[in-house]
Amino acid sequence: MTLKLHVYNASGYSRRGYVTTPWQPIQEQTDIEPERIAVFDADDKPLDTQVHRVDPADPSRDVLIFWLDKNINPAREQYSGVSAIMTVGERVREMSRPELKCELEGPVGDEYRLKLSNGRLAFQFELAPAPWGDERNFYAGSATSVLLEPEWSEHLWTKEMLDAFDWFEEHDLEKRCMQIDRVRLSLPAWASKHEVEFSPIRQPYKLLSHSEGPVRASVSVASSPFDYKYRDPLRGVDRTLSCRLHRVISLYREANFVVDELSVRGTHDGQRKAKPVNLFFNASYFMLMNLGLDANPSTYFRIWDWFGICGAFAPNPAFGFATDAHCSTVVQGSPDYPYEERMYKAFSWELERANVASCVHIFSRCDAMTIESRAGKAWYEYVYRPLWAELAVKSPSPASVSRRKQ
Amino acid sequence: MTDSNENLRNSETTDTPPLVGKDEVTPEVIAEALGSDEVSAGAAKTIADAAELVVVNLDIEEFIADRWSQISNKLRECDEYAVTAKTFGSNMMFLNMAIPLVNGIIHVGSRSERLSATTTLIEELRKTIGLSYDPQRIPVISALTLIYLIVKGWYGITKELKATQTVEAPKKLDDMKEVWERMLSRAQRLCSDRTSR
Repeated sequence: MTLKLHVYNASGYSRRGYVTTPWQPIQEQTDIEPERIAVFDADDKPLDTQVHRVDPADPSRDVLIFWLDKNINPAREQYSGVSAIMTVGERVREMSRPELKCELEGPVGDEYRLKLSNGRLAFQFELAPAPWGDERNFYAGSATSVLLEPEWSEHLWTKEMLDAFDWFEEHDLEKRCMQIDRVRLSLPAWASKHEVEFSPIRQPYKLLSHSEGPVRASVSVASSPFDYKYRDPLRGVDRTLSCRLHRVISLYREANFVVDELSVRGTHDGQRKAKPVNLFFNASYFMLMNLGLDANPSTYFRIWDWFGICGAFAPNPAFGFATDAHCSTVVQGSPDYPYEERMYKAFSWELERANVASCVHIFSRCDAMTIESRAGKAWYEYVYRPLWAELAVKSPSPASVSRRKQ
Repeated sequence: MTDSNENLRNSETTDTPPLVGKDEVTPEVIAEALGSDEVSAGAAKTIADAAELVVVNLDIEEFIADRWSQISNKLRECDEYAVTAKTFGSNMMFLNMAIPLVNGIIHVGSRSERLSATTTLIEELRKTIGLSYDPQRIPVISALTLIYLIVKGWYGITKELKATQTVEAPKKLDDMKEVWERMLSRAQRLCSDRTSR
């Protein structure tokens, strides 16, 4: 059976790149194995396709991802119509194998480190809190090394982005990025406290799944569980949700950015087979990255969705961030960070309350204007109006313009 | 040390004693090394004072001394590459590689408050020497640090050769001298005031 797929380019210009769609509705209508599935374009040309089973306990989170080599035009109806119709069928040839890799370190079921790379960007993500085997036990859920290849044939003394000035090979072991150092959940109005706070940095994350294919290298991880206790006013009983911060971390083909999808999922009273519920949360990111002694985060009035940070010294390491959950002002040298000599490298910011958040972490070597422009573009293309697809089983719904508007 | 620069040293803070260089690469050594057909004595002295000020204020003398072997190797690597890339502008290629190298030294060896104080000093220096145009301070700090490093390398090898004058100097030392002299001549061209004389 061949299925039709509606592809949406909800921007005002032609675009190519990765497209995602839920896997479960497709799986329900076809008996093709995920390993044999392919999306075909209008000329019947097979596109590089991949299925990521994000969470073995929840098939509704599985995604099918494919790669558009050629630009597709935006729909005639502004931002809402179908841009292209493709088909889903059985693979007729092997997919191309770009340099996308997902390597796991540690015994099966007890992995402590992940390494993702795409030939352009490579990073090392720690699941364990104490990767250096010493008393420093606060690295869980952080990338401790990010290597970016030269943008052109420029000479670089080091490819390390987190410590880009240090060619002495004496890297600061404190360096890290993409770390969620705090999660806050609101409590009901009748509770004595107004929120529950959890810091997932000192307990190990668990690897739920990983995927390595022609479109992305991706991992799904969950923090250690934490309790969310509340009083059920209807039953008059105290209840407990066992919660975990879930993160799907993806490195796409050709990308110099990492996509981090966050959610907090809780199961009632430790019920094993209960369907988890998505809770609203605030998450705070922490990053210790040497962007220069004079680095300054960009600040634009009322722009809450993205920012850039860059210093003026060559090789101009730059970091950009974009999200669909809004973020607070970036704090440089947060007051609770204990090491004064590293304050200029310490950055933190908090996402606004959301039940899911898509975040893009961009790594580059460029000036301040360029990283701001890249962060803004990443927000538009990967967060606000990503290319997306859905099965053409019924009349097409209006195109997604954002998760919030949906 | 000129009077104006003496004032600059003391103007940073009134409570702390003036910062003074501790190594043998003094402003006099830098001025003497730079002075040439390319650089007049006056310009050499001004640049030498500024280079010394920058390195002292960044507080990186000791850091440089501790890692001199690594730093000198990397600078020689820059020169080696510049020699092979001579058809594409040898000095330009040298600077292209050496400036990020120097920035690494500044960022690992110094601290943000020291950099901030140094950028203020560059602004003061601009006023003192009567420049109406405010230069980009970051490249100036990097370039002055590079000049200091080159003179340090050149001075060191020159001293070593003098010490071995009584016996036949090893060829390796002669080769090193050639490399450092080439780098010094790049620094002289960087500081050249010949066309404006």
